[in-house]
Amino acid sequence: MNKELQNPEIEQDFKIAFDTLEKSIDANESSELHLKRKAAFDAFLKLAIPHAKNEEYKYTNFRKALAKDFSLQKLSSKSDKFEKSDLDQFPCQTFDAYKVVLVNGVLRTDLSSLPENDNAITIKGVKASGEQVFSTLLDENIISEPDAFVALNTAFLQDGVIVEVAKNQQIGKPVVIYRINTGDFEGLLTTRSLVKLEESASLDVIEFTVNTKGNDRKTFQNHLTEVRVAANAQLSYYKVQDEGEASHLVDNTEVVQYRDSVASIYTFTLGGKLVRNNLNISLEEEHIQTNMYGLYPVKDKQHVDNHTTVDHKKAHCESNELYKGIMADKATAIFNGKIYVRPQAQKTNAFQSNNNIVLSDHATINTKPQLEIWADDVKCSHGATTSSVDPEQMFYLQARGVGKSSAQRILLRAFAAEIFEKVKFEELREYLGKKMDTLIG
Amino acid sequence: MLKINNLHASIEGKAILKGINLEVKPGEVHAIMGPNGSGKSTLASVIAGREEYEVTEGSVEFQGKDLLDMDPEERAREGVFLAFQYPIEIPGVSTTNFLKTALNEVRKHRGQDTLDAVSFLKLMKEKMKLVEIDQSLLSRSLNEGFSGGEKKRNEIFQMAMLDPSLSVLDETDSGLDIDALRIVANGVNMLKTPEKATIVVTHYQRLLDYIVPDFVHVLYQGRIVKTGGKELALQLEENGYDWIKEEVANA
Repeated sequence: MNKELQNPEIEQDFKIAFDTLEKSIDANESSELHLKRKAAFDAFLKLAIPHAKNEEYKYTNFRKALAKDFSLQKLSSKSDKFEKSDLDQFPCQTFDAYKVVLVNGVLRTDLSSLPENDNAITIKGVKASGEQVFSTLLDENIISEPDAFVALNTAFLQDGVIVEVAKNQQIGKPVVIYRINTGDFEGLLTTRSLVKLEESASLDVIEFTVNTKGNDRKTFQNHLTEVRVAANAQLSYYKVQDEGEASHLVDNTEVVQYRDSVASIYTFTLGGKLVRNNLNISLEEEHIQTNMYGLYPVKDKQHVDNHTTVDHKKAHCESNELYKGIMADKATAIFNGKIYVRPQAQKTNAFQSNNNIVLSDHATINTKPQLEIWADDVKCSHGATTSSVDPEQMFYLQARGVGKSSAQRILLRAFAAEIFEKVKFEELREYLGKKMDTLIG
Repeated sequence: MLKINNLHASIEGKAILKGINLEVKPGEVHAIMGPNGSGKSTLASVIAGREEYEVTEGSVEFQGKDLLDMDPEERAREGVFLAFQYPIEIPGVSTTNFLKTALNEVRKHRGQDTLDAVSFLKLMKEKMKLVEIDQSLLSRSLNEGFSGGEKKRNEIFQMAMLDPSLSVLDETDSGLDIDALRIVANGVNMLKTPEKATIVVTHYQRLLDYIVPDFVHVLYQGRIVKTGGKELALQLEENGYDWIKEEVANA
């Protein structure tokens, strides 16, 4: 461990939590999963929680954030008290969907509706699959640079979900994953998901990271989703983060795509005190299409940091990225979009755009496109805009009798429309729109 | 209905209006004419409540109430309508979309029931005919890619929907071909009633062939320097503004 780090007690607290976990799960010392977790924790200790001098975490100082009255020694509590009726507070309940309910990191099959004896799609928890299976799948798709939170996620892994779609299977109804934080404990909450699409398969996933209404104690959540999209497969993955005001959240999403596949990843950040999203997408073969859309309406003292990387490794791939932010009050948002175009990735099309509306003099946006291009026959573009709500547009609506706050709401909705209209599910689109109205204005 | 008394207004410290006096009664049509830069559009903007303009002196009374004390949306709800000289574009917002909010806020203010989707659509269809506007245009992003004529017709359509008692048309005729001009003017005329008044701000006499004013005022250097009947407009058309400028210089 680096001795010069400030607040070294952070890692010490994680060590206590890790030892508690080791004891509680009564692990087989020599099992592969157990060894993997131990190795990951050692790696974490070397990496340590990043500080502000770490370029990747420059604007999001986790050492500072986690040093403040966090109970990092504690693990999330059991979720027995959470009942079926408690699900009603969360959106998309009426969906005809496969439902996966993770309460405080533990898969609750009693609350979930999972496919049974289905050759097309399987959804299983870690325990149901057996440690052996999970262990071989784990970390298979991690393509990013070593990251403390990825290591931490593997180290603290207790349960998780594996979604697999078989070759040539088009899954007609979406998989809705609820990652629920009951919010009645302080401590660490870790989940892991694996989503695998075999060749020519297709799937829609809607994932909610939410907390139980009324409960909002300080949790540090660390989620990791590994996604593998095989040749010619199609995936849409909607991430909806609507955490409580005290929650700190790191959400890692690692996507690997193969030839002719299409993946669209949507990230909606609607709540949470501090949210860091790492979305890393690797395009391993040719003729791949990738879409990344993000929307982050933030207020109060919220801090939302979106880091994305798309790595074009082979020729004839296309990536489109559009992230939009609305910042009110004293909120802070960060957007960092990396596009790598490797020497072999000729004829790449890579587009990136980040647009922000700042509603207050005290809000902050840091936006940084980062393009590294080694190929010479490519089309790449990037752009970032930051502005206030257009006063001319405001006046026009007011002059027609629309009150100031309604006018602002109309204009912000229009600003977000470009993202909303790409959402396939109407009920989800409506939920997001209404949620945004209540957040801003 | 409207009483403007010794109105002074400036923008960024520069005085534009330097003592406007004007009274508009129900049923009247007033034309405000004048050379470029005389303050015509400023007057329209101050009546509608554009924030950039600072009123430094004087008063504006609308139906007995202090208009200057109201936010732009309050003025609209009280019955003032400004047809913009340059209607702005709002990507992602259609006319139908915001006008329902606008109309219902206006109706609420006037003690009328709010309209549901069906009655709103019915009213829309009725008013669309007035300005020969197509519904597909109203479902598109506001003014985005609209022709000049379409923009102005949309302004008059909104005016018809909101049913104001005082309409201020700010150079609605500029840049319109004769057909568009006729449609716009026709719409305005059909909305005319003995209870309603109109202020037509224009640089050109042409519009006044279609919307016949009761009074013509010439605005120059921030003041109304001449007032007459509709024949004054013809005189200006023939002789330009130079004789007015000379009169002012010699006064």
